[in-house]
Amino acid sequence: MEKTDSKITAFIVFVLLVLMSQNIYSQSRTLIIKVIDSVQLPVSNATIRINQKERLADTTGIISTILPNGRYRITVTAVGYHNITKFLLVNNDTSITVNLRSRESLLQNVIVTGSRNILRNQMSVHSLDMEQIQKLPVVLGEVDPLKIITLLPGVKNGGEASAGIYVRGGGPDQNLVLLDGIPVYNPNHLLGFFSVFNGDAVKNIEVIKGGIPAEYGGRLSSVISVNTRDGNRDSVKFSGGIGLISSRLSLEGPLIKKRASFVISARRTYIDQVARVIAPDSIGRNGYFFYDINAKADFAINSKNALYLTFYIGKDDFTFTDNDNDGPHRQFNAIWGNTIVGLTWKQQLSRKWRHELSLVRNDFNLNSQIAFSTNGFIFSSGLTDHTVKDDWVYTPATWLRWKGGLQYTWHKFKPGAGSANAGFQEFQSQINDQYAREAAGYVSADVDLTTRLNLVAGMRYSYFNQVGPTEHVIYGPDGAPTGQTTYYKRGQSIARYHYPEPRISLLYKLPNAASVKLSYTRTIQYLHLATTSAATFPSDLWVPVSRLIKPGKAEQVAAGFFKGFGNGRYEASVETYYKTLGNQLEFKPGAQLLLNQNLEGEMIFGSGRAYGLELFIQKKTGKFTGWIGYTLSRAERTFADMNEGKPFPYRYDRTHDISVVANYKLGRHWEASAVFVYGTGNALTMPTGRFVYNVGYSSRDQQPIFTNISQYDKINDYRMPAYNRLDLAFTLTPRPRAKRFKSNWVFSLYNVYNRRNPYFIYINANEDERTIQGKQVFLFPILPGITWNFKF
Amino acid sequence: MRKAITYILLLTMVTFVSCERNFDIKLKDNQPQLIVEGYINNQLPEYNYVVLGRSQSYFEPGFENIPVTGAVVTVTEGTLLANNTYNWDLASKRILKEGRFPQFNDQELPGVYFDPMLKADPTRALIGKPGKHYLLEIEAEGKQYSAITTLLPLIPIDSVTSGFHFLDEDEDEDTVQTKARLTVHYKDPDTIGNTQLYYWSTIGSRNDFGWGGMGTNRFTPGTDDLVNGQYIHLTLSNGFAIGDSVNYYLVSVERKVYNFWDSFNKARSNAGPFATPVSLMNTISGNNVIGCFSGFSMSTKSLVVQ
Repeated sequence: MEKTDSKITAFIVFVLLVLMSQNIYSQSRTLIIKVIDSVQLPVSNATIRINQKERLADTTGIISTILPNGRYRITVTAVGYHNITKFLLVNNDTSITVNLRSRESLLQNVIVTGSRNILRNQMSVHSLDMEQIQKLPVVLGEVDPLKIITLLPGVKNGGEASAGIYVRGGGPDQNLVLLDGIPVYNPNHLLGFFSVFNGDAVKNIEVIKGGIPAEYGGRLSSVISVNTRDGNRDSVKFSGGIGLISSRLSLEGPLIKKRASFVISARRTYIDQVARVIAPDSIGRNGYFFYDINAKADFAINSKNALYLTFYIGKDDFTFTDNDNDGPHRQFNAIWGNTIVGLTWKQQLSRKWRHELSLVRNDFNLNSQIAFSTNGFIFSSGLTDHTVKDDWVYTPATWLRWKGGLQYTWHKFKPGAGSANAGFQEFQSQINDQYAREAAGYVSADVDLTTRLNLVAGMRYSYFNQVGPTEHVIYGPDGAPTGQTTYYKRGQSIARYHYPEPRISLLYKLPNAASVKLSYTRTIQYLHLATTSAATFPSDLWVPVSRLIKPGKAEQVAAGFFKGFGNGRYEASVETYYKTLGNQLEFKPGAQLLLNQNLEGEMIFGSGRAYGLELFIQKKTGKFTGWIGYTLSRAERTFADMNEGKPFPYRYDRTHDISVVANYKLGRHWEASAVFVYGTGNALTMPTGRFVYNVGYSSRDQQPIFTNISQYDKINDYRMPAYNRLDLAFTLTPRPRAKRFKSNWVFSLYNVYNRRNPYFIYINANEDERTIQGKQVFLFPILPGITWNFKF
Repeated sequence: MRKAITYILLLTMVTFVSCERNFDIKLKDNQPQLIVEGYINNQLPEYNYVVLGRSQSYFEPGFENIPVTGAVVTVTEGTLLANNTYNWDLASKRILKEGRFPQFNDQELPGVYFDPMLKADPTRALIGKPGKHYLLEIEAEGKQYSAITTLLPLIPIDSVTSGFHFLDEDEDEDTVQTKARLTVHYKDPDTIGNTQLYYWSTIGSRNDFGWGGMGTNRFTPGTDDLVNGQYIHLTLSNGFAIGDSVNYYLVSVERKVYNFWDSFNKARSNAGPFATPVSLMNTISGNNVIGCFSGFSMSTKSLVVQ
């Protein structure tokens, strides 16, 4: 362990000891407030003002606080609901439930959470509710929470139709994407056009870019948490939507009236059917579709115990047939997807103790086959996780809250099994399965040091152990197997790593609704995503750390200033960060990832750093709402074997990144929204020269024979043109014909001024016509979209 | 494999929505490099040669090799001693020269260096021997370059058979021809780490010059990492006209030579959003040089396609 780490550790232990030695009020009472809406569903993230002191309820609508005996004025506010004020005499431990009445008209506006950002000791965070997301224009009318968060400062996408999310210079595999707290390994459908999150099933999405709390771990750069909504506990409801390329249907209702409910949302695309009508010749027998099903059930056993069951299954199916020069009947078929099941038991043990226990099973599987007329190829890969997670919250006093917990995951990786036949030769191969144990424990304390200063000090300790049974083939430096192997018995340790991960956040509240925040985080990642391309592809493999692959490490310091003004209508923030990344993985150019026993031999390791400034201003209420985000940043990587060991820009280094999101209520029935984005182009490696190789001379054609090969110099030294685009959407909510039936129409226009943003560029050197010409390929011209949503 | 699938996906995606336009790409200037393409094999003396060329800026006109002429090129045979050092047999040193050869219709081939003995007495021309090592030395434009390769033990071909017939439509000529595919049968040695390349010549290409004129299949992997020690029946997807007379070459190469040709095949078709810049796995020592000195240990079978 390095010296600085042990100093930080010592500091945290010291702080925790000082805090524990303090006396806790003995004359205090516990007040628990539960905030629910008119259909008994918890209202997440409500703000509760007790006399003059504001506190925040958690995502389950509960706040637990300790007060001296006395009379209190309690005001509960939440976005989209009418405020409620109650007077309460507390001379015993008390538990109350507050019913909020929804303000439907206000729900229509785009708002990123309330003044929470100024009061909450969590910096670098943004939350969006699904109602807000649904009003924004999207390509082909397909609502996607993962796409919308890339409109926030510091969160970038890889370009049009790119799957990756890049947070503060981190890689696409460094985001902890959670569905109701369960990690999702492949959050995208084909090539990242769509995420696996069906807008109908989602309640809200939150992204944490820095100051990551101790309860989260396993990824370096961010936490992207998607929460699904609970079902209606009173009556059965249907909702859904019909769009150009997909349709959705949800069913929800009570299982036991007032106590248990369910919601099931399903979605299927018909992009292949649509394309077949538009361009029957080029589509032919090829097809692609995906479906996904989200389900959730909740059961309130009693007022103190509740069970939640989350289920997700999604499958992509891709078929391609081609009569090309490799002979007739070339066919490719791939089916892949996630299956996730999670059961959570939430307990309010006493007024001071809360407890949550989760059991999770997480599967990702790919099966593909490719057939030529003389040979075929079957490939499958995947991984399976079993996780148990135990979290505790202890609130001994108003100024102190402890959190602690343990997590344990048993990973099974199936890096790939394949069989191929070429003619009547059969190749069978099985890359050895890999097994690993991952565990972590954490403790954190949330302390009001003074009325203005709040500290959250946490320590996470993580552990990873790759174990047998497996057989390692030993490779020489030229990549050839040496013929030697090492066999590891079942449970025998192959590689073991463990690290402390300190997390510290400081909040200082200034007068006039302003605050300053500071944070330091250290994160460790034990799984790497093996991918060589910008688009995620179903063959992407998650590989665990091993003897040769070291865990990724990141450290980030961030500072921010937060200010609300205009009577809470506006909120603005400035944040700056500096982040270092260690043990970053890249593949050697042209690396073979499929069925490669020696995947480690194709990897190279380096470091990275990223720094930047993020500005964010938003208007939260009124007819006109929206935000402007701006990021000035730099992200670079250094690899000994690349670019002569000199730092080079990360592919998604984006100097300037601007997004403007606006929403305007035109009247009773119409609403308009607009999104504008501008970003510096991606960094690319382009050739500087070329030469010919494999020369010959054809006596029949009297022509030389040769192949042109590109010569490369510096890495990522070329910039694509800047990306910019404007989208518009209009939502029409007609007057409901029947009381129960509600619907709306969303008309969208993507890329309004038809900007030709390059999806990729390349140089076409045509030897026959003796021309060399740069080319750009762009995906989406101006595109209209229409979606009809209903609910009854 | 991966590349094939990504191209299929890309193709489909591009069919759905995309458009393509010309685009002015401004590139940085290149650092000129010497390009070396050298071969030593045990069967075909006229296929033992060294080509020297030069790289140029990307948008320079012209596609052919820019020959580097007047270089001093030598090949020396040797053995590897037990202490991992080479013992070069200086008496075996051959000086390769540019020139016109009757084997190639006396055409001028600038930048291509042959053993001059090929003209005087082809039976005594430079030829590789399995088990031996070869040192290539080049002095070009005042700079020195060198490379070492070896000829591995031969892997004999049991037989080459034809089958898997299909109708090949030529849209330009508007013809349909029945073609066959070839399957090579051989036993992979028990030692893991063997690598092979597959070449052939047909009646139509027999008078062509050079390895660039030979037929080969660049999609077929040639390592035995997954099939070590198995009996191999490998069918290539290339079509052969019925009645054609084919010489089939099974070429064993050392790993660094295989790695070079593997990188070459990856580099030759590389564009699009999934492209990664591929640099060739150079085996030549010296400054600003790229290339490979390839030791080919060849077994041959001839057949008439049926």
